Amino acid sequence: VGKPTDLIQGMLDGLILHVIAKEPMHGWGIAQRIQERSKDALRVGQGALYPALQKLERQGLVTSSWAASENNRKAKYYRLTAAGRKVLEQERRQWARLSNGVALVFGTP
Amino acid sequence: MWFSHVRTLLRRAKRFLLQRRLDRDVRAEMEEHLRHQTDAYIASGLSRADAARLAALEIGAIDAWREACRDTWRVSFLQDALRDAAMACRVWRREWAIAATVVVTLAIGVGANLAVFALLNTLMFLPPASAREPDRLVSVQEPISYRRLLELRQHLRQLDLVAYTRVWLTLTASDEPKSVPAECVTPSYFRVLGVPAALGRVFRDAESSQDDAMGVVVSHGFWQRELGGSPSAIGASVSIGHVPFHVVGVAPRGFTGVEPATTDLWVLVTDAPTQCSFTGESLLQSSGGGWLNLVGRLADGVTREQAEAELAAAATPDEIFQRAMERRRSDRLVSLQASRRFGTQRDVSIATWLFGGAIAVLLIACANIAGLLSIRAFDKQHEIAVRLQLGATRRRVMSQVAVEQMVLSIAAALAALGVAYGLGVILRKFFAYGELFTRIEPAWMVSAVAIALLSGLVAGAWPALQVSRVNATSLRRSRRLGGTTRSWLRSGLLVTQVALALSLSIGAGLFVRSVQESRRGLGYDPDGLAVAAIDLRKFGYRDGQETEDALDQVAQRLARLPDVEGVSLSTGFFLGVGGPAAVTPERVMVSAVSPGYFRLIGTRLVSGREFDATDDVRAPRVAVIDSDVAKRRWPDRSAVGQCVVGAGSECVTVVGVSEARRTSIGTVASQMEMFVPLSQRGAGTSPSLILLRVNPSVSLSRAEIARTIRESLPRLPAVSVKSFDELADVQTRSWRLGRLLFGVFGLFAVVLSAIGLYASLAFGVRQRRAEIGLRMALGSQRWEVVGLIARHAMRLVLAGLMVGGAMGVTGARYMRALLFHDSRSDVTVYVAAVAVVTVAAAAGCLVPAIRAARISPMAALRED
Repeated sequence: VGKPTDLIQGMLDGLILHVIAKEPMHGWGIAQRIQERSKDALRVGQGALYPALQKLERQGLVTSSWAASENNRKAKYYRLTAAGRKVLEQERRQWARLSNGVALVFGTP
Repeated sequence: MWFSHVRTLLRRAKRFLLQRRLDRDVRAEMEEHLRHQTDAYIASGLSRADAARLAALEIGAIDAWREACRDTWRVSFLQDALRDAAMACRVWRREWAIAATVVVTLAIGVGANLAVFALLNTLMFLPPASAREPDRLVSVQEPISYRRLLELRQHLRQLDLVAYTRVWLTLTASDEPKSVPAECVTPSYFRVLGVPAALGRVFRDAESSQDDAMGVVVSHGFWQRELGGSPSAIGASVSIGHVPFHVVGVAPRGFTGVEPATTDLWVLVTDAPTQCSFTGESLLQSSGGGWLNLVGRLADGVTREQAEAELAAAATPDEIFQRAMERRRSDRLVSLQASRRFGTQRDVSIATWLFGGAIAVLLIACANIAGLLSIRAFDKQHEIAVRLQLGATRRRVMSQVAVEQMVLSIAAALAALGVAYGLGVILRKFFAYGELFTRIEPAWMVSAVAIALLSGLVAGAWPALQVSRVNATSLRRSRRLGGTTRSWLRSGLLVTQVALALSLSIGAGLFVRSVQESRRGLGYDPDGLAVAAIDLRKFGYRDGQETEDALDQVAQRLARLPDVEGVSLSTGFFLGVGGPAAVTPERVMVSAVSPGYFRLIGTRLVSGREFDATDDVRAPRVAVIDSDVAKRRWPDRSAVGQCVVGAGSECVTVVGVSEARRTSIGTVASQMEMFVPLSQRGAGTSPSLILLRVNPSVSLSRAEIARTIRESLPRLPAVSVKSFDELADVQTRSWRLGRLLFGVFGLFAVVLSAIGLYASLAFGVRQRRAEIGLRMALGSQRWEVVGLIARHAMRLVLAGLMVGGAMGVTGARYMRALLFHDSRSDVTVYVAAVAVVTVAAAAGCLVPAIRAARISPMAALRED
């Protein structure tokens, strides 16, 4: 296994939205979840994650609140908003199209 | 759609307002992240300490993160600026010595410019304050009589003419009568100038003097000073020359009449015909010589040429306007602004030079600041490199530097207003007219800030450039050896400073010399000389025994006053005061003087004797002539004993030859003069001057002298006693202006360059500490170290002196006409200026050089 790939700029937003779509999560959890789900293929650096979360919040796609975390500490939880859900749908469709396209190109010798 | 915009905006506003809390929020979130990460590492089997270390390492610089988070909110620019400003204030509080030096230096440079600009503005561009459309006002270049004015006004359609004449009116309400400057005007004066009353009313066109008391308009200053500044002053009674007047109005603040001089009262020329006349008799009916000055307003749409043509057409064939036309002069009408400028021509020229001087001071200040800041920038390299490495962007660091500079500039601008105000207070002593910096107007504040920011930018650009060159990745390892940035730019700045300081010092020296020289070789001793002009005929003293007795009494009483060392009487004219003087066809001015006159005023007798008590009416007629007359009449023999022919062809024997006296303090030309004893004077002349020699070390008690004179001559309304210096004031004013401001600027320049040299050398010594230590360890003597440091500095000073000397000599050539006689070629001025600058420069070099010599080689080499 090579070095975990840094995320393509622009993809991170969609991944974050997807990860918190099921349940509210805190920043570290989001990063962990992305890493786990991608089987260590994708790693999100803090320097990218938190500014991205801030940006999403500013755009009104997520909201945040402080709550007790699993190990009984306070953590900041991010939750998807209605607007965020819409954007997530778009991102998914876009990714499907994009990955299909990429697969088609790589698939043809 | 717009709704979401509003929401975004509201969120941003909230975010901005809650910044501090949100910052805390971000930090808490980071810490939370760190803990999670640490827990995860512990779970994977690391020790707690290792886990914490690894997590911390991974997370990196929290500050950079937070910046990145905050940057997403886009309000950061304003916020950064505010924070930078606060930060800059903290930085400068810590480095207060540099901050204070920069602020004071810049304030001096900017303040000098503001003050000189205000001065030039007053001298050149200022129309009479409060006048409406001043560019439509013209001045007629020849005076006319009152009757002629009335006739002209009938004919003129394109020019609305009014007349004024300047007089001193005597206020007689109190026991101490006093003279105040006034203008006698025609009724439409204020209307034509377009000057409204600040209180009450101005004169009406159809002002009638049928009322019981006649009207007077007072200046704003007079109203404040003498009438308590209350509205009830309108209608108050003012006694002028024992005639009651009542105050009808107050002129607007700053209005000082047509000419650039102080005016306190305006009366109608028809109300006070005798007081307005220079002869003491009413001239209203006279159609002879002109005594009223004319000012007019061009009718709408009329050009100056059209008005001139109309004026010429209305003139009688023998009249001045006509004659002027024949001579094809087209300056019968000049704009009032140009006319006001006329009397101050030399002041204007000097003020223009001073403007150059002020700019030089500003340049020196900028050079100095640039030097200081670049030294500081060098010292800060390390700090800045660290900041860059910690993740600050280059833009942020640069903007921080810029804001630091701006904070200083703004502080300097405020201080500059203070400097300019202070200079204005001094300058107002020279120029009693106009509103020379009496209050700080918004325009001045704006220009102060603008000049200061611009200068700050100029001075700060280079140091900022140095900062921008600092590289984050390569922290300067050490500046122990080498690294001497003996930059040509820094050297250039020092040379410029020294050069400008020298040329300003030379300028100051030339004016000091002019003032000094103008007092030398006068043909009399000016120190402690005072003159009281008495106009006996105007106030009803006729020739005769009664007047003679009164004059004797005056002389005796004055001589008994404690600080009066001598008294003498004279007819004629001296130092610009006194009555009309008798002049012979050969242009010799004849004065009758009392015994002891020459001894009193300090005029040397080349040969013969002066008048004494024996030269009375019955004695043979005698005279004293000055050496010029003597040389001209009797070039080959002694004049004493010769005859000059007096009235009635009788022989008047020359008993003495006096040294020639200069006509005025402004020139070296002398006036040919002849003197006769007062007791032998011709009929129809009476003494017009009382000359006093007072102890120069005590201030002149003019009130006491005036009172003593009026005790014996009670009909005189007021007596003005003036010292020589006051009388010479007008003539030497422009030199003293030059002396004062060039002196102040020169002082600034010299001190600033010394500071600049000091700072630069001290920095050089600090930089070369290790090198110097090494040299000393290898056997260099202390004096050699001093030489090492001083040699470089003195080379710069020498270059500066050469450039500055050339500038000074060239400047002096162009200034020649503005200086007294031959002051320009006075070598001592240049030598003294060079000496002053050299001494100051040496003082600036000495301290760092000594400090260098005290460096302990052991300590210096062990450092770092």
